[in-house]
Amino acid sequence: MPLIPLAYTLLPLEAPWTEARRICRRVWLLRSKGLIAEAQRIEDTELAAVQVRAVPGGGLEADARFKALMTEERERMDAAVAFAEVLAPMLSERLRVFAPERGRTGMSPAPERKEPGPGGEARGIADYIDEMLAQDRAGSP
Amino acid sequence: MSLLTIERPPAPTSASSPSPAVTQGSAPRTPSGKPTRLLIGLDLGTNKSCILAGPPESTDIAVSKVVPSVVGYVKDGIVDGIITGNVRILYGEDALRQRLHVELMAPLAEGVIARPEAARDFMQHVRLLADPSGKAEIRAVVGVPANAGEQAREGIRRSAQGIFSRILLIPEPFLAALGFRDDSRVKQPGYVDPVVNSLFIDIGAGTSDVCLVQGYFPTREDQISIPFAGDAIDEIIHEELNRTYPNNGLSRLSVREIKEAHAYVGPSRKPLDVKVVIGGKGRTLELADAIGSACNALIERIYPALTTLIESASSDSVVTLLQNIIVTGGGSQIRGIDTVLQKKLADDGYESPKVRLAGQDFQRYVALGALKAARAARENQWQVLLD
Repeated sequence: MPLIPLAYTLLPLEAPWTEARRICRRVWLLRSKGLIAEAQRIEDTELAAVQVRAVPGGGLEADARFKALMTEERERMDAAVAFAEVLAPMLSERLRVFAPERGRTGMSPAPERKEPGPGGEARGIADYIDEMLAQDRAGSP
Repeated sequence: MSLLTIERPPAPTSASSPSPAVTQGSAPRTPSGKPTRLLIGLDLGTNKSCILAGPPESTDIAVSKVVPSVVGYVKDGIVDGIITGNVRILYGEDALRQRLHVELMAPLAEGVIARPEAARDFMQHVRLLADPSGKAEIRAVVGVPANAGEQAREGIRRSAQGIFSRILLIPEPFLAALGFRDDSRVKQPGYVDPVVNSLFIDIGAGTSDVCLVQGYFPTREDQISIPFAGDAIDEIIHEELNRTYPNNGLSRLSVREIKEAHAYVGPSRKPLDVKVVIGGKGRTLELADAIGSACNALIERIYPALTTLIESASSDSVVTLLQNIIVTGGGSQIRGIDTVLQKKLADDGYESPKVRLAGQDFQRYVALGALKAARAARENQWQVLLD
């Protein structure tokens, strides 16, 4: 069940304009990710439905108000993305300073569990060296 | 009591001549007249380097030396005869012994080449230690810190150019596992091959490397290198000493010697009275907390890396893995490090962990693994060092 229709049933008394803003932000987020078709579908269905509830009579004024809302939410999304683009490297740098660096220290969440190799006499040292060289080649630019 | 045993060669007549134990004279030639090939396993440590050398088709170790990783350039104006042989460059113990008359340079910092010229001179010294005749063709496997980047690797290659004919760089923790493996027991039932299922903690001077070794060559995710090790402990102790005993005048080298004699982890071992000479007078300093807190800081950094790797192991292998956690490197000499790590793991619910020390040969395992790798490497696995 899609989250937005579920949200309608959970929050039946929420002001339609607040709801409209939320849907607008979702539309702009989808568009920013390149999911144009999905964004359009939500505009044509959910956003249109909430617009009817927000301004039951419709009209030019209502349309203008809705367009202003869409523009405002788009600008808020753009500002949020720009802020994230600035903040993310700053946070990464600070986290690198206060925590062991991944590249050298490798302290990351537990990686995918691996099964041990055959090891022992079944593999010669040269075989291990082959694996190492293959990793080096895979990792080199 | 010193924690680290350093082989002290008899005073040579020149800085580059070997001890009598390894004198070989002119290099023997093969029947075809080609120069003899010699293999080196080299643990290039920030503080100490271990060199093992021997012929290819053999298990003999012709040269086994632990050398302080330091080069001493004789200062201008030193009177003739002060420096034995009037040489201009000293190495290792000779350089430290004559430190008043030389500019001491450490070729490495945090496990990687920091001073290229000093590194090249040191590599020349390594070569001469392995082959006094200077005529053998030498191939070297050199240990590098876990996850060393390409720049660090290139630094080592450049320092060896024109000195070794071939080189192979292999991460130190894997070499430690290879060196630690008792090849004579691999087929014995019940013997757990450390290369098949173990976790190595290699605590050096520049880095502490933790590595999962489970029957395949460790990937980047299996290795964690922490730039906190012996030198960082020295720095913390030195700062605390200067705070507690201002104007103590103790050098970093003296602090390291104090640490090597008294390092411990776990609860405070007060009182820990250490006699030192300051300004010519004997003084007794109480150093339990200074040493203990500095060494415990190492545990705080190693333990999360340890548990990260344990938790990445498969459930089928982890119980055996927990029984094969091995601490090696100079840090293995810190009193109590095995029991403290083992207790922390047990207290955190890990199943029957067993942490043990690599033992008295801890200084040699990386170089030993490197020599084994040199003997096993195929021709196409070596990198050619162009002059």
